[in-house]
Amino acid sequence: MDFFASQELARRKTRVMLVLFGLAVLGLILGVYLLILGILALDAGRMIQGSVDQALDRGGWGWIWFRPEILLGVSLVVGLVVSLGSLYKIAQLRGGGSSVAAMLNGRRLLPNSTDLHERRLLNVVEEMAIASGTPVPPVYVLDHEAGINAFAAGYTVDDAVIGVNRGTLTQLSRDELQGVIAHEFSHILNGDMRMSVRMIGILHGIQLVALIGYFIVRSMSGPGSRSSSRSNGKGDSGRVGVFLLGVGLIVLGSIGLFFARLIKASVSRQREYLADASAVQFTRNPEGIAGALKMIGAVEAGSTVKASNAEVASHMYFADMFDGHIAHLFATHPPLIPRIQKVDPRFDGDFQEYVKLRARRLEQQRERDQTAEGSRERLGRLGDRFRLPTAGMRFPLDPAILIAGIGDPSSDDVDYSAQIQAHVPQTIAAAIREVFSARCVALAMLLSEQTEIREKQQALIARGEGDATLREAVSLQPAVAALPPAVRLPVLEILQGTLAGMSDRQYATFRETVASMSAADQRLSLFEFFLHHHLINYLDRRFGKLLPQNEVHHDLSGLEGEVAAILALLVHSGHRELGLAQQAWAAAWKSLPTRKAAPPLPARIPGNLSSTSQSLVRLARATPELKRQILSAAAIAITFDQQVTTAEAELFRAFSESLDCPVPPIVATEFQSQRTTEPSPRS
Amino acid sequence: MQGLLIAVGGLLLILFVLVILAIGIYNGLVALRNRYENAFSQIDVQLKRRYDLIPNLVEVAKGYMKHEQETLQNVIEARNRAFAAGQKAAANPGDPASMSQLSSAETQLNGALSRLLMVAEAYPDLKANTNMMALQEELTSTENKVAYSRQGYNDAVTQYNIAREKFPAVLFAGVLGFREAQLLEMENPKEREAPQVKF
Repeated sequence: MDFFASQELARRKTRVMLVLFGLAVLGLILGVYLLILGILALDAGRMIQGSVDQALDRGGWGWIWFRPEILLGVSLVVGLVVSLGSLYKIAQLRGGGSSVAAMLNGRRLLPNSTDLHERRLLNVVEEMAIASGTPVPPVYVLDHEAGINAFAAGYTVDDAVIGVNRGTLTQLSRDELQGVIAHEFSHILNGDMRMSVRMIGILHGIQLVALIGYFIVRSMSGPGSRSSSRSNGKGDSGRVGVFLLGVGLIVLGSIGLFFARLIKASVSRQREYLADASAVQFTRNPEGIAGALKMIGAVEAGSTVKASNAEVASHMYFADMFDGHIAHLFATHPPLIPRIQKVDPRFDGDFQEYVKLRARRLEQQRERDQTAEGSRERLGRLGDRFRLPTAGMRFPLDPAILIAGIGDPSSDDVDYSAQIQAHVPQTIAAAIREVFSARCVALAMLLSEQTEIREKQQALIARGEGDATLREAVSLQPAVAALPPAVRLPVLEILQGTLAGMSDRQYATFRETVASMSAADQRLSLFEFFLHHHLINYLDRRFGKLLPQNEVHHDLSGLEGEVAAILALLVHSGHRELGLAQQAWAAAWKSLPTRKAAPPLPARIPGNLSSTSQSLVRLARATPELKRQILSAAAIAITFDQQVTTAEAELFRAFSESLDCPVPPIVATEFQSQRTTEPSPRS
Repeated sequence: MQGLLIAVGGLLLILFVLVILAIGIYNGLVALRNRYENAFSQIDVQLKRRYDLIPNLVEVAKGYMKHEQETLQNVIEARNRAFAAGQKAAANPGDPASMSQLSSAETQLNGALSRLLMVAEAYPDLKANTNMMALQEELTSTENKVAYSRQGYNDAVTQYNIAREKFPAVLFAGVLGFREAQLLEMENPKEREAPQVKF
């Protein structure tokens, strides 16, 4: 299943789930309505002897059982409570993954941490992010949790965070850790997080009904209310009625919660199997994730999480936070043993053997960890299986392969990413892991080659960010300019993660400086333009200046202008010769699902790209399926002449990432064309 | 009867809104507190880096400055004090006592360092030493980073303190254990000069 299909599936499943939840809420309304009628009947029965019989005499059952004003009132109140509760929770969680991590008392790992275990975790996350083409998510460690567990939280790819228990760092080998992180990345890429945020929201809303009932009962039986109540008959019966209402609300709310949890748990368990399967696909190493799961079975602390707030995030975890061994209806995760057996069919369910094996292996692992850091050792093993492409290298590229790779990194991509990391010069590698100098790298990327413009830009940096920043940016600029094209996007991905550590005010000045700098340079290259659009867009969401967007464009009507503008840019960048460009233009347009004739190809790339920014923002709000079609057309626009340079391939990646569709490194995808001939685990 | 029901219902609704409000405020404060604690760890990393650099600097300078033992000793002592204060502050970021201790220790260290660099001006051999130049460059860059992450930390603390003192929050904050956090000021007129000695 590819990226777009699984995003689409997640959307559809969310809709089914919403309908089921809607039914649960309807049932709840009906229940509360009947409850109130019952209480009123009881009340009336107390006051008028034999009232039920009288009522029957007067109007029959219809009179008692159908009271539209009460039904309306109940629907309004219950609907309001549930939806307010849901919206409140969704708004809270929508604020981004970092709020969830903060709620769980996570400590943010700095990209330049020197602790061995933390370093390893950061490297694994970076490799996985580069391999899938997403920005490096902030990583949080839950220091007080000894169990093996991890979670991914956030509303979209752009505000995702990964949280890891301390126990995971210390008890798993590098390969196993990689399996766990790949599992979490699969949640991020499959769009599971948005779905689960909505599920938690609705759950919260239903829970509120029970909570209100609980408050009612508490306030009725409290000592304060008793002393103040008068003991005449009418007040007493009122008290009984209200008390019954409270008890009834608890019961009904609990029943509603029961069904809602059931729905949530079953959806969640399906997504877990999917994430396990994807993790094997990303790393092509079933041992890794199977080992991590077995370790959970083997150690005493298992996957338990102690933080009291953790339940809201239970389904985002790697393994069940209560007890992974027992299968039950509400488990957010499938039981451990079947999960292991799906990735490792030979496993017989006996952890005993594994406990001993682990003790030995862990000892060895510790010795190895001390001598050499994991990633270097890995690199040595890889040898020169992948060459870093040079700027001028040209190769044919099948657009279909390009699209198939989106959001679906393979193990080769992961290996290749480690290689890319090794190709980043030391000065840059150190700089992009530290907020102060990472900013300088981002600004240095924008410095123009023309002296006149550059001087103007330098003055802008000095004014906005101070002399120290300017000095650092200028000293970094030669190294930044010399970065090979294949490395620039990965550098940006690490940079994005680091820059999310700025304070709000620092970001505000940074954003202003970047904007004024690109405005000063009228001849920004298209690639740089995409990079900075992507960077600012990402950071805007991180800093809450831009809410995650909902899809609003279901088909191409109304978007033709934007698509044409972008395609024209790509066609011109991919084809020097005008005749060839015309053909590529026609071919790309033909692949779009529109009946309109292709507009004439604009003669050349416009000097000013500022309107392109708005086009990108609009295109980013298309549905996954529509994005796939737009990206297919873009891939054709670039690859039509069968001659793709690395720069062009990176241009495509930058464009795709501007639309929130993460693309694995393309040169690795080139190897995929050879790979597809051999039997592949992909389905 | 109906009046009572409405009154109880209304009261419950108000109570309910209050509880929701309190939960929201609590969670918001927790998130803000975590943010400034995380921001402090950014300073901490840079400060540690600086504390590691200083003994190296002194070691290089020792070979040339035979007659300036006192100045060198001062730097080492100030560095050790700042290191201890830094560790204490890292254990409890935002705590007023440890933050002001760190800030005064840092101020002293800056003073001692700038004296050392001033004295070093009189030793042309030392100034030309490549190790010394590399160390000074590294020190400058680290101090820039300290300044930048300190700005970030102070922003986060300000945001937290403001949220804490806003109206409904100010009622709960003290009870729930949200104490006022302290800005990290390093008020030293020489601070900016110290790392920028020309060589």
